[in-house]
Amino acid sequence: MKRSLLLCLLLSAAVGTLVARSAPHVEPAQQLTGPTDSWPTYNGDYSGRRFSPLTTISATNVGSLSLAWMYRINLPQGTPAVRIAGTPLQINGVLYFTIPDHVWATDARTGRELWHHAWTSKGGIHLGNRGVAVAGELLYYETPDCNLVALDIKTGTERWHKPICDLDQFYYGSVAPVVAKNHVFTGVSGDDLDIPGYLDSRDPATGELQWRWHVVPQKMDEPGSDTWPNEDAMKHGGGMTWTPVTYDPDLNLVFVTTGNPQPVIAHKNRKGSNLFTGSIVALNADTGRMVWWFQSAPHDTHDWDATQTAVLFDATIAGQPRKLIAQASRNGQFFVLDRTNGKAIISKEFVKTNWSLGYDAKGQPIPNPAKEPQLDGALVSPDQSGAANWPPPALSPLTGLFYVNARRGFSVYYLYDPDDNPQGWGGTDRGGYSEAMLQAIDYRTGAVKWTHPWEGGSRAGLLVTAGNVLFTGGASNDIAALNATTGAALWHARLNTSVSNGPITYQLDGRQYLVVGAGDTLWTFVMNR
Amino acid sequence: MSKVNAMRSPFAVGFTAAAVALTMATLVAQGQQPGRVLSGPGPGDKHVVDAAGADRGRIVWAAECITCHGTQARGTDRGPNVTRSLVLLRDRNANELGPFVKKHTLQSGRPGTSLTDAQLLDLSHFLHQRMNEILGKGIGFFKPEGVLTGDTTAGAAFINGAGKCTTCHTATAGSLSGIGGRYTPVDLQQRFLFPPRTGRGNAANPRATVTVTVTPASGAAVSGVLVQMDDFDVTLRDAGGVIRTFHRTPTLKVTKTDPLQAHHLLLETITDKQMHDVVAYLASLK
Ligand code: HEC
Ligand code: HEC
Repeated sequence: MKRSLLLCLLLSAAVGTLVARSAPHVEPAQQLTGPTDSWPTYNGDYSGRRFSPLTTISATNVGSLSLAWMYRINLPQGTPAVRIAGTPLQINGVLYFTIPDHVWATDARTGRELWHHAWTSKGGIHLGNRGVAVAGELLYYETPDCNLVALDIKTGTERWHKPICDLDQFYYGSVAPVVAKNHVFTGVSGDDLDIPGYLDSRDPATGELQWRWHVVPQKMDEPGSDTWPNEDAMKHGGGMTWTPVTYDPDLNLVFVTTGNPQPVIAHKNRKGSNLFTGSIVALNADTGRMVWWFQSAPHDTHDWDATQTAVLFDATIAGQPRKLIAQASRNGQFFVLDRTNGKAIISKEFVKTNWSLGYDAKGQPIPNPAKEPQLDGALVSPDQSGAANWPPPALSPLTGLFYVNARRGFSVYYLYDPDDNPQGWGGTDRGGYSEAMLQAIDYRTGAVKWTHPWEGGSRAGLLVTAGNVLFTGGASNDIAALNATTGAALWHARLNTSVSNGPITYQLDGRQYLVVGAGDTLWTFVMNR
Repeated sequence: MSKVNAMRSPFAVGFTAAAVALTMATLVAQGQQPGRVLSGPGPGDKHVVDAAGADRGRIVWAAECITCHGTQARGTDRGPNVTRSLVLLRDRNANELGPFVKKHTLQSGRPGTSLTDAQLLDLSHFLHQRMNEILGKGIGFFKPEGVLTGDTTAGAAFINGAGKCTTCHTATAGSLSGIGGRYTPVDLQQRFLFPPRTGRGNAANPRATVTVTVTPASGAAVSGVLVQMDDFDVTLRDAGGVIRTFHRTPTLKVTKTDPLQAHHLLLETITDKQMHDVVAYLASLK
């Protein structure tokens, strides 16, 4: 009793402005409150914290979780990428989840399939799909062949589709769209042939383009163009936008995190810091106008997309209440910025790395040229897969910790193409050796408070709850629960294969569920007590 | 698209029967392999390069295009990079390239219209081949070269001194003897930084295998090859080949031994110069 009251108080104080505000036009207010009976966006809410206020499952009873149901995808042999690598949404008792070209709706209580939609593909990379967005009666998702598709959420029938990128240029679609106000935000993927990345805002009713923000300036006089040698380099400059954006309704800012510049490894024809690749950028949600930027990976040459989720939270630092944004970036750096202006408060490694020479005046890391890819090889840490990657992190306002599944790897980066005008990749890394661990970072100091090693490796998304439980995939094909305060292992269950997404939770009829994807199977656990 | 519940089609991407038929017709019409999985980068109806055509196209290229667009078609001061151009990306079998080039004045001074359709098709093959070399990280095309930049003498000194390699290896016996004759320089570099745990035919190399010793609060210690370990259980294979799992408790002592630990620690300290010196020395062990 006392405990839950205390939690409520803590919650309302800590969650603060981010979640308790105005309702967007297109969706009930639940998109902004910490989700309880639903999981209505990729990250649960707009903040990217993947924090659930639910307490029915707690650190003391998590050992009693039991299997509620499982749903196994049944598609013909040879179907590419049958792996649930996205986060399901749960709205009004229905779960919506994807793999490339496919969307399913199942009953959130029983797992019964309600409908299945399949898209006839014209091609594109089928690697993973991060899921859907829902507004009103429409569900949105991206296809590998560059379409934004809108489905009727009741039947799964297509309402319309709109091309959002050019398949001929080797773009593809994979990211989960995010809906806020009267905008559907869609990003693009593609690292094959030197193309510029962008973020679109589209009309939820029609898919028509409202605005497009180019990650890399496209003309010589535009902001950031002084960090590129010429217009040709910018027009082929990369910077993909393959992680769902976060959004602050009060500031009306969309936070987009951007991928590596292109050519990816060879870089002679893109001297400079290559803005706004490898950056966290705040855009006005209605106009797409850039409000501030911070480059977490200047002049990247290691394929370290800095697209990791930028997590929004409020906290008091040095006696000052602050609106903050944090990222654990693929290059091993953890940043906490003021999200009203992009000013860095913390810049610090969350795993040991060997490629930087410290930080500039803005708190951005300075790459060491000696650790750029070399013809005879440079030993670099982290490796290409990065210290963090796409699996979503989590943040708990109750523990004051930012959680990320991290990896400390080493590999040798080779430059293959010494041409003055390289293209594509022009090199790659070979390796290597790596250790996997979960890092719990104190977001007020940037210090790693505890580390939970994964013997044999793990790379899954995270969920943290007010019940003081942290859920993620472990190293033995298991879904694991850790004490969110201490990192102590509490419970686990072995699945068919390793966890391939970020777990979610919701409470229906007083029962709290935990849903996690592992390969072709969605597993749902429930607290029966 | 359509709502599909149970589909049994060998053609991958959730096609309805009608769509499969349609797509196959398109693919066949474009001279492609029917039934190809449309899951790679770019469009499913990509131009398919004919190698002999590309070879003929290279000759036309050298005669009519090279001075402006360069050997690799990446451009010069007189003409732009073609490999990333929309004309080429949209092109299938010269359907875009042909009309565009016909408007060009060629290297020989002749008009573009003097090229035959067959020549234009060959040029299309040649240019798509250049583009394909870039795709897939260019791994099939480029190779790491020039890895032998180190100093053999410095490498020998490191191996016998600061590197402490000779505590486990000698240059004349075991895995290092004659190693320079067995591997290319880049493989030598990879193998000494990250020794593989497997040997020939992917069989486990017992000298590089992680072992574990489990000691219960009461009872004898059990050792074996580590199979799996997490917070809850540890599984090993004992000398008799028996798989044994122990539930982990605070009183169960678990000790892991990794013969490659020294190699992993080396990654923390070795400089790129030392790394290249060691490779030069290893390459000399023939
Ligand atoms: C005298 C120099 C010259 C020669 C010879 C020449 N080109 Fe070009 N080419 C250019 C220039 C300049 C452009 C850019 C202006 C334009 O689009 O016409 C260009 C553009 C192109 C483009 C479009 C590039 C883009 O970015 O859209 C293609 C494709 C192309 N050339 C192919 C060829 C081929 C194939 C040949 C040989 C049969 C050839 N060119 C010969 C100068 C030349
Ligand atoms: C503590 C013992 C130890 C030390 C010190 C050590 N190694 Fe090794 N090394 C091993 C083991 C064990 C293996 C894997 C089994 C094998 O191939 O012998 C190995 C493998 C190798 C291989 C791979 C051989 C192959 O055929 O693939 C090379 C090369 C090598 N070591 C070089 C070095 C060099 C150079 C140093 C010093 C910088 C060094 N080692 C230090 C134990 C050691």
